[in-house]
Formats: sequence, structure tokens, C-alpha cells
Amino acid sequence: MIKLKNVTKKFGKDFKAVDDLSLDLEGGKIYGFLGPNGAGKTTALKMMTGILTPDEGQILINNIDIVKEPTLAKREFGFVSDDPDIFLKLKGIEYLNFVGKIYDVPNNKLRANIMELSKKFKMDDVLNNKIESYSHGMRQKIVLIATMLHKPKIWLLDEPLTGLDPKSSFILKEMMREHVEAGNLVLFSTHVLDVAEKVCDVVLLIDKGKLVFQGSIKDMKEKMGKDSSLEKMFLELVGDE
Amino acid sequence: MSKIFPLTKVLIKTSLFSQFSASERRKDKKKISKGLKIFLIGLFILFIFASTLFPMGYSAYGLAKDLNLDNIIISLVVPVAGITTIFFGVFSIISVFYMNKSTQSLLHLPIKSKDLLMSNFIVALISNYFLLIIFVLPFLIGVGIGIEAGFMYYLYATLIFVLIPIIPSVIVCIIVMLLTSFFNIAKYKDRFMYISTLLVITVSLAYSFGAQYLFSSSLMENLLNGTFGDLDSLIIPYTRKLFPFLNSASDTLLNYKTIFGLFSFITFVGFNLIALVFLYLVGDKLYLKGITKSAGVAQKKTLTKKQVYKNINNNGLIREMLRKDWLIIKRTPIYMLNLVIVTFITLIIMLVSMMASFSGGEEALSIGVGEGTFQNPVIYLGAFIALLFFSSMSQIAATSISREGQNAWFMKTIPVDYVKQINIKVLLAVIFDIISIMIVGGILIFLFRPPIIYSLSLLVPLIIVIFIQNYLSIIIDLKRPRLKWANEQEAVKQNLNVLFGMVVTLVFCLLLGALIFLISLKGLAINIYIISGVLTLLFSILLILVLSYIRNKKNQLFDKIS
Repeated sequence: MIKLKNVTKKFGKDFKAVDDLSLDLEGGKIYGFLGPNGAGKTTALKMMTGILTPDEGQILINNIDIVKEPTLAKREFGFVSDDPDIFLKLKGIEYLNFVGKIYDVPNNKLRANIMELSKKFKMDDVLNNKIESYSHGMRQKIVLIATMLHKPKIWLLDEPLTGLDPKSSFILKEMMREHVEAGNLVLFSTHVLDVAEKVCDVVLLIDKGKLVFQGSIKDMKEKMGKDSSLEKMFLELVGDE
Repeated sequence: MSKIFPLTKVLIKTSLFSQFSASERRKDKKKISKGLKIFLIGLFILFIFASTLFPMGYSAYGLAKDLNLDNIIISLVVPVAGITTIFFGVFSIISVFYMNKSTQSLLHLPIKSKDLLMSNFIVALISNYFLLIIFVLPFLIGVGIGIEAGFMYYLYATLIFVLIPIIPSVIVCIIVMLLTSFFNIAKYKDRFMYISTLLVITVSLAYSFGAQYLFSSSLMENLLNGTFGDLDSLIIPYTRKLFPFLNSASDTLLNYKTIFGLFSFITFVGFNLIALVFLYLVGDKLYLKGITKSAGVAQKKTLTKKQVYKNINNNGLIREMLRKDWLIIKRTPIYMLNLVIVTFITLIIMLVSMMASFSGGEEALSIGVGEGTFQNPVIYLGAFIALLFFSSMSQIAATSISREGQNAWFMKTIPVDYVKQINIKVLLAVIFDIISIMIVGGILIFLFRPPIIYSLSLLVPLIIVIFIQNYLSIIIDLKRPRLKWANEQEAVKQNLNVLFGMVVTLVFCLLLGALIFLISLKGLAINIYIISGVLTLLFSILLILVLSYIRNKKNQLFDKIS
């Protein structure tokens, strides 16, 4: 579903935020993007979504090149940024309507999806409020709802659980599981190792722009020694910085 | 007190000059020099603007001298500076004081509210100087050159220029802070912005119109009575009533050679010090109360199922994207006031003044408008330039990318072609430009009754050039967007792209002005419909070139958004 072929992104003359990264992510799995601050996770996600253009390499979203055919490729995924402060002057319902129109969701489906998702995330009674009046968690939830409106097969989520209350966090994790069970893909970045351990089928550990590990937590434990905690393994793999 | 200057430094860096700081991804030397380059370009543009105003200041003095009004410029420029500071300063004061994210993030620190107040006051004051450079400085220098003043004049003028916005800004601050006592800013943040701004604008407009009315009626009365003698002594008493707190500044400049001048200067400095101390003491009680209110969260409203259904409209993509941009402008007071209301207020003021000058009615108008008027190419081009100038006053396109701020990345993740997104943003700007033309054009048509074909011959090339102007403005904003801002004010008022957008219009006006000069010089009698046809053709070619540039370079144009 997502393929990265030798992707490199430089900032300035020498700094490589992502360095020759290759990934082949299949449907039916939750992928966790892990790595220390500044490892290149957000840069990689931004390239997958078309926000940044790779300097080298190729990115295919459902076999569509994001650089060559951006409009088509962007229909294939839903993206949640790490900053949910979006369109604060719009009311929740106006924002959802706007996103629905962008993805050509028919009105009857749009209404049904909004009602269903807003109820699920307990947002149905605040949709008539401006987003600026929402708390951080509520903003996160409205962005998540907007991302799911057009029912994309691929979810790209940058720190999606940050700021969510325990119930919403649980609901989102359940939804992620349901989504991949239908053969779809979820790729999310996180700093919380416990979450990665409990939610992810596959961990992608990235450091200094390079992939240092890809596999399940079980594979990681086998590689690093069964007694190691995830934290210890993480520190060992990223060089204990 | 000791924290005022470090605080001011931080607030200036995070708000006023964040455009020039190297706060991008990497702090390499190249970025810093680029920031400096942009700053120098800005100064250069400012210089161009000022250089057109300096001769005006000098000519104004020459004209006044010919009318035996040697002292009128100084007597007028000082109160006008005061009114200008109140009129425009209200935006910067409200946004810096109450809407600034940097201020909100400082609230938990052990800082006295009066120190925070004074730091914000200095930041707001600095932004006012940009306006005074255009409105006041040319006249102070123009008079200095006119009267062949010595060192003392320029020394006083410099110090007065620095001090002049203090008292008016303190007045605005106190009014705004008093208003916060009655408003729950958290709940009615936008309404507070609208009401206080409109209140200050209305008061200052009513004040200046009232003063103008009293001044002109009394002057006319005296002139009719035959009291022609010393016009200065006739007019200046009225100008002194405009802003009494600033009279000592005028006295200093008018008597810069004498001890009275020095005494007036000391008095002026004293007034300013009293104003600052007053603000420091009173503000302590009022400011924190207001600012903590502004940091609150509004209450929730419940939405019924029916309302949800009603909100899902049948708009297509273009209408929905236009609606989104319009809703954000409408609901962000700084955008609405700066991009829409101020534009229309300025238009209305200009038109009212123009109509007032035609107070003789249709009879007076008919003197100027004869059959040949609508055949005159110079008048045609002059009208074209005027309409182009009026239509380009709103800077909606020039700030359309900067206004997206930290949300700009959204434009890159949606499945809508970049060219289409640019077209939609330009369309919104053009709609407002056309409304401006309809207001100005409608009144001109009512006054001068030109043939319909004449109006159309103006309108067709004008609309094409408006599209070009807006596309160029948006290209500039895409190439150097100001996306990191602490408050919306920075996106529209402290944004050099607005100035660049104005330069685009000025270039068109200058080129057409050169054409007028050429026609007048050679005494050419070119048919206006031929001019209209040629302009339409040239502008259409230019528009096609601009559009093909956008189509070919769309990915590079969006490079700065990440």
C-alpha cells in the first residue's frame, strides 16, 4: 500500500533528515513509527503526504506516485498532523463539511459519517462551536473525524494519541484495529513505547533519517535479548543518545 | 521595572520582527543574510514610498508659504499624527495586548502585569512608527528644508517624532483596557475587537470631521468678513483645538530657535512622562484583569441533528473553499477590519470628500463634463488609474497564503490541484475588488453620466489587470509566505508582502501614468476605444503569461509551505 524507494530529504547543504529510506508497508497491519526527536519521522510522514518533496527516491501510495500524480495519491489516505490547531475560526460542523466537499463525499454519506463519528468520539454536542473554543483533545478528535470522513484505506497519523482522554484514546485504538482488519493500513508515529508495544503489529524504528529496525516487538526482543525492556532495546538501537 | 526591556526584546522578536528572524528549520548563516536582505528590500520599498512623499511635504510647505500660511504645516501635522496614531494604532494595541500568543504564554511567569503592559506598549508603539514614517516624517523634513532650518530644528523634530505617538497610544490603551472591564473577552473576543476598533475609529472620524467642519465654517465666515490679513493667526487657533496635549510639540518646532521652544519641548516631554507614569499605575489594575479573561475558554453550544443536516450544504468544491476563506476573514476581526472594513471606510471617506468638493451640484459638474470629456484619452487613462488604485486597496490576495499560518500544510495534503487552489484564492480577492469598483464606479457614473460603452471600455481591461495584480500578489505571498505568527495582525499588517502587492499596483499605475505623459507631451488625439482595445489585448497576453507561469511552476511555488 505504501512504498518508499531510497528516499532522501536534505535541509540546508549537508543535513539529511531522511537518508536513503526504503519501506514496503502492506495492508492489514498497524505500523508504529518510532524514533528519538529529530529522527526524521515527521519529515518522512510529510513526504508521504505530499507536504514535502523528496530530493531523491520515489514514494508510491497504492501504486500512485505522490510526486507525479499528487491529486490522485492524496485521495488514498487520511492524514492527522501533530498540530491539531486547524481552522480555529470555523465551527466543527463547517470544518467537517468543508473537508467532506474536498473529498467529494456525497451529502447523504457525509451526514451519516459525521453523525456516526461525532457520536463515537463524543463530539456531537459541540459541532456548532468554533474550533478555537475546543480543548487540545477535542481539536485532535475533530481532525481525526475529518480524516475518516472519506473512508480512506490508508491512515497516516502523526502523534494521534497526544492529548486524547483515555476513552477517546481507547476508541481510536479500537478503530485502528478494525481498520486494519478490513485489509487497510495504519501508520502512526509515537513517542510512547507502551502504546507501540500494545497497538503496533510492526515497529519501524528510525534514527538520523535511517531505518534501524523493522519488525514486531517479538522480533525485536529476539534480536536484542528476551529479557530486555522495550525502553532498553529502544535506547540500544538508537545509540543511547 | 527591570524586566521591561528583556520582555520587550522577547516580544519584539516573537511578534514584530519574527518575519526577519532566522527561526526557520536551520539557523545557518544563509538564512540570516536572507532575512537581512528581505529587511533591506522592505526599507528600500519604504524609501520609494517616502521619496514620493518627501517632495509632497516640501511642495505642501511651498504652497502654504505662498498663501501666507508659513506655520500651518507644522500646526497641522502634529495633531494629524495624533489622530493617525489613534485611528490605526487601535488595531496594533488590541492585537498586541490581548490577541498575542506570546503574551498568553508569559502569563504563568513571575512577571508583574505592569511590566508586561509596558513591554507590550513599546511593541505597539514601534509598529505605529511605520505609519508615522509615511504620514508625518515627510512633512517634518519638507518644512525643515523649506525654512532652511538648522541643527536644532532637526534635533527637536527627531525627538518629537519619537515622542509623538506616546500620548495618543496611552489614550487608546486606557479606552481599550476600560472596555475589557465590561467585556468577557474570552466569550466575546471577536465582538470586543470589532466594538472597540469601531468605537475608536468612529470617535476619531467624528472628531476630525467635526473639527474640519468648525474650522472651515469659521474660516469662511472670517474670509467673507474680509479678514484676510494674517491667515496663520486665523487658522492655527483651530488646529490647536484638534489635539491640545500635542500643542507643545507644535510650539517647539515653530519656535525652535528661541527659549520658548526649549520650554515647550520640556513641557512636551513632561506630558509624555506623565502619560507613561499614568499608564504604568492605572494599567496595573486594568491590564491583568483583561488579559486573564482573554486566556479563557468559551462555553459550549449544543447542535441538534436538524442543524447538522442544515450545515451540510449543496455547495460545490469551489463555493465551499471560497466560503471557508470568507468565513475565516469574517470571523477574524483583524482580517475583517484590515482587509474589508478599513478598505471600504477609506473608499467612503475619499468619495465623501470628493462629493463634498462638488457641493455646487450638477451645475458645477456640468462645467467640467462636456462632449469632449469622454473622448479625451488623458481623462480615460486617469480614470483607469484611479479605478485600479481604488480596486487594489484590499490586500486579500497579497496575504492569502500568510493568513493560512501554521495551517498552510493542509493545502498540500488535500486532493485539489495547486492551480485550482490559487484560482479560488484569487477569485475571492477579485470579488472584493469588483465590489470596490462598483462602489466607486457607481458614484462616478451617477455624477458624470458617461455613455455605457465608455464605462465598459474602462471595465473590461480593468478587470483583466485586477486578475493579473491579484495573481502576482499571490505569487509573491507564495514565494515568501509569513506563516509563523503570534497573532493575525502579523499576517496582514506586519507583512511585507502587502507592500510588495502595492508595488505591483504602483508599477501598473506608473506605466499608465507614463502613457498619459507621452500623450500629453505629443498632444496625441488617440481614440479611447483603440486605447481600451490595446490595453485589453496587452493585459490579456500578460494574464496568459502569468497563468502559464503558475501552471508550470506550481510545485516550486508551494515549496515554502511545509
